[in-house]
Amino acid sequence: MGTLVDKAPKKHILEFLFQAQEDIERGAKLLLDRPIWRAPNWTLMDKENYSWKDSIVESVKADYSTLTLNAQLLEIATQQARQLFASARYELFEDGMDSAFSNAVLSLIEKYGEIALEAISSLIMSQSVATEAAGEALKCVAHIRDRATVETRMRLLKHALRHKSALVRDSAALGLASIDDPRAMPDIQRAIARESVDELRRAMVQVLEQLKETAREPM
Amino acid sequence: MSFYLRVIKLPRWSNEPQELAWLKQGEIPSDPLADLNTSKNSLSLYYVEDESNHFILKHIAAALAATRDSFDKLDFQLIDAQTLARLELPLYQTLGDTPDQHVNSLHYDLRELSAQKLLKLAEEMLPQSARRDRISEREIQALIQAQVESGRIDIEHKSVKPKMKKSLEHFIPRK
Repeated sequence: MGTLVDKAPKKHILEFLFQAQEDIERGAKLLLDRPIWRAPNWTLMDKENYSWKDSIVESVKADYSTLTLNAQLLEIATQQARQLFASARYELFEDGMDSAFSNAVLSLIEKYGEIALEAISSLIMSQSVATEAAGEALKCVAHIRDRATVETRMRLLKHALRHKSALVRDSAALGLASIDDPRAMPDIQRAIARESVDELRRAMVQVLEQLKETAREPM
Repeated sequence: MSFYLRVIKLPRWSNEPQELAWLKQGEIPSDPLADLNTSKNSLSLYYVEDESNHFILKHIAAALAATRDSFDKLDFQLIDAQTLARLELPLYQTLGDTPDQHVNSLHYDLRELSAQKLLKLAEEMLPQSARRDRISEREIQALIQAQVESGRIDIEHKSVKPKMKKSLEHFIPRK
């Protein structure tokens, strides 16, 4: 008995696969940049020399389906996050105080999970949102009590340590202090070495000292 | 030398020089003014007799931070009394609105503040980066909890918000 692929016209499958890849590249470039989202089976395709197996085709189809769904969700979450940031463009935030913006950011993360985190991260790093709001959003990201998303949240905060704005870099360092995971120490050390604002560098040293203290604490 | 403490947000006062390249000679950025928001032309400050007295600094910080929704770092700047005198800014002792009675007695209002005077104050404060400091979220949490346990911070005070009160309830000493 031949395989599914033997029966299906190879041209059709190829079209499907390459269309899928095109869609993903167009709709979710960000997703492809992130290893956690990348479909492992894309590398199994070889345009010139392909040999197919049922399992590969089914797996690719499933990946495509998940990826397109995630890409759509990312688009929706990005749109909503963009609106949120726009509404908070001129807002000033005070430390330790809840705001309509912070509550809305938390609701967005609750609704879309890691996809919302991706959307928030890309908007912040695109430098297209107000820095006060970006800083506040990073604070929300740090304060979520959810161990399942800690890796993604830490990645987002580490990424923001390289932001152009001192306020955003400060919020990112503070966020990593809130999560209090000593694995962030090398990133904080690098951020300290890069930091050109004296007061911010001192604040980052404080964060590093805290993480060192946490690392010394018995598990 | 005596000082007056003002709560600020450090990044509003510290920028990279290239970010401010657009400023003309003698100008200062406007972001610091966000930390000098007045009410009835008055600015709220807390008296610190000696800046090396970390004990009282931390008491004030804990009392102020306890009036927030949640634990967070607290940034502050100390303004020396001589600067305020030189700028002819009148100070009036009034009762503060924190859950720590002793800290409330250290509260002052800087009154009769015109926009020009406020700008002058910001100009004086801006270069004094050594007088700006931060108490971390972790330390703030520990300080508030210790003050609640010692009975100095009263979580039933009207200035304590429900969310903060809930976080602190199990630190109230049992009678």
